[in-house]
Amino acid sequence: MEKSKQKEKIIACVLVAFSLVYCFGCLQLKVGHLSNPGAGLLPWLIGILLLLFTSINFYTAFKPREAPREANHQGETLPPNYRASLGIAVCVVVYPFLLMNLKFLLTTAIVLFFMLLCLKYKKVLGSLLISIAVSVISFLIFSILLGVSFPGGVLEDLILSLW
Amino acid sequence: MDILHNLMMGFTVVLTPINMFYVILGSVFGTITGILPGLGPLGAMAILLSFTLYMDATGAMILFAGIYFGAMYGGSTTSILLNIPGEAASVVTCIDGYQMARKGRAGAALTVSAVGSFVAGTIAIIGLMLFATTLSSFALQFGPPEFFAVGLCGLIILVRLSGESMVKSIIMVLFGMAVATVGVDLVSGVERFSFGIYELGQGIDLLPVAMGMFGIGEVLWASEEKEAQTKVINVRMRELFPTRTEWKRSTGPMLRGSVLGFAIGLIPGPSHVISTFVSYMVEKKISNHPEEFGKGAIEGVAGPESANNAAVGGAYVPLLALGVPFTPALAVVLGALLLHGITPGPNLIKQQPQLFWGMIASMYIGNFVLVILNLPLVKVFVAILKVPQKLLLPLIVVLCLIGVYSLSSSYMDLMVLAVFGLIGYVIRESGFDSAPLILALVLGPMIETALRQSLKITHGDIGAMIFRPICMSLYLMVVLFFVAPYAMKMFKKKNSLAA
Repeated sequence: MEKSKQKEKIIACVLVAFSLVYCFGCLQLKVGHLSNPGAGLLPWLIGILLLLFTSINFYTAFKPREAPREANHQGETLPPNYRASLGIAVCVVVYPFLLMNLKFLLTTAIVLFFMLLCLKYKKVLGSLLISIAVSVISFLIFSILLGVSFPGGVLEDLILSLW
Repeated sequence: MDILHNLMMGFTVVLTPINMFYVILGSVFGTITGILPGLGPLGAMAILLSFTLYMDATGAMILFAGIYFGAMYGGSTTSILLNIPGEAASVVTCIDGYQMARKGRAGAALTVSAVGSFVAGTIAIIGLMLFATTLSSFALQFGPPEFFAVGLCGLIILVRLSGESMVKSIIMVLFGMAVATVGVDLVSGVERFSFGIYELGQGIDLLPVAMGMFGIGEVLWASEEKEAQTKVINVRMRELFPTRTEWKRSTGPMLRGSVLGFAIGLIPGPSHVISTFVSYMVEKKISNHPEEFGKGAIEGVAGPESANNAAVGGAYVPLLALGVPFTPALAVVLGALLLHGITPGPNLIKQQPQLFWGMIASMYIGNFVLVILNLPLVKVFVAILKVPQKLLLPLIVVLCLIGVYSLSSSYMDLMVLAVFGLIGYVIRESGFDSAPLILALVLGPMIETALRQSLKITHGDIGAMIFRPICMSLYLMVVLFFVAPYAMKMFKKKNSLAA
């Protein structure tokens, strides 16, 4: 309970910060006149309203509340697996950077392998084989069947030449 | 006669091998996404959005219609057999559907649910055909002030209906509109919020945002939960037939649910979910056996299951007639149309008759396919739940990553996907609903253009923008929508005090 309240406070702070940054960005835009509105009219309106409502949310999040009754722990669900969600989040964030350098096949295989390990689907060898198979199959489907051009290197060229 | 002639033309469009393949693919895929908890029609459409680039616009619409209807069918299966709603619109079905299954009437519940969905789907398609064509002719009179009013009122009603807190829903709408303002302003050519980054100057696309919020966000959320073993109630083929009494008790709820669902589908927001709750309450109120509700009343399955299917048909009306999507899933459908260079609006039915009537005809066929598929193959579909989540989740992530990259080979899109995936995951735990953000992102540019054009036309006279017959009616409707519940509460309080 304490954790989720903490999270709510952090989100409220981030939202207010976002509104301020957005309003700051609006300063560079011309509002124009009502009869000839400029590019900044709607952003200004959005910015002001955003600041107002994120401030209300901020106040609500930080307002002291009555402590809720202790939850009944009988029949409670299993503890959440944060390790898996963190692992997947890291994979999604690093994917574009890896793709630029390692190209499609290697990047997709590495990312999928790491996610399978985080979720403990199979042992290392099983996960590795699945990752390689999925990345090769998806490369063939998207690249050859659908004509998508992925960043390619030696491995991609090799598969294309074999095909 | 005109409608019949056009419908026949629609059937000739659909009855080609490739389009029939899309009907069946959409129906099967939709059923699967309805069965799998967490991945609703919106997530499925968002994931498949990039694939629609490789088909024609009609094919894409046929596929998406199949997914949308299929998800409504699929959601009921797990609700009845497992007490797990695969989709938000099937939560209500759990109440009586699962109780029926425990009493050995799972087959009857599944059949009534499938037949109810078919009846509702058919009624909704007829409604869609008639309403969309009429409304689009009427909407030809719309100018920028009317489009501004439609967009604004849609967002305001959405705020009222979605999420647990109105302030949070408003923040999400404003956040979505803020994201929509990123990029070059098409009227003045001024760059807005791009911070000198060339790719941001092009604006932020719907696809990476939708796939991030509903694909990656859902996966991150689902990966936190440890997998639980599911215990399925067995159904034999001979048990699928309801008794005569069960049929008799279901007919009324099916028809009422269809009409209610279609009407609620015209309202912005999660109409397919709301329609099930409303239908359940109505059936309970008018039933001769209200005490049976919650203990396995067949009306509690027939009504809501019909309502959610009919709501899907209703929700298509504003999109096809006005070009304004009122549900997040239809925002993705709009995205698919825009990817093909088609801007829906009052002229769509006249300019793209093959697309419109082809889609309508595909809905008829899709509904039929869904009944045929869902009843005999119920065991096969339920077996999908046995595919380990630990394998499914990474595959969905890879599909999202590849799908987003394949759209425009942009690394920036992948970064946007990652950012919105994290946002979708974080905000969900704090009671923020992602749906208003997506709708605001889609409606934002339309609202801005309409507002600026309206102000120019009226020389900055806001009164002239509001006091036009159609605009005024829309604004009054919104005011009534907000005031009515409070007025009714006060009226009830006064009555009880007087008594």
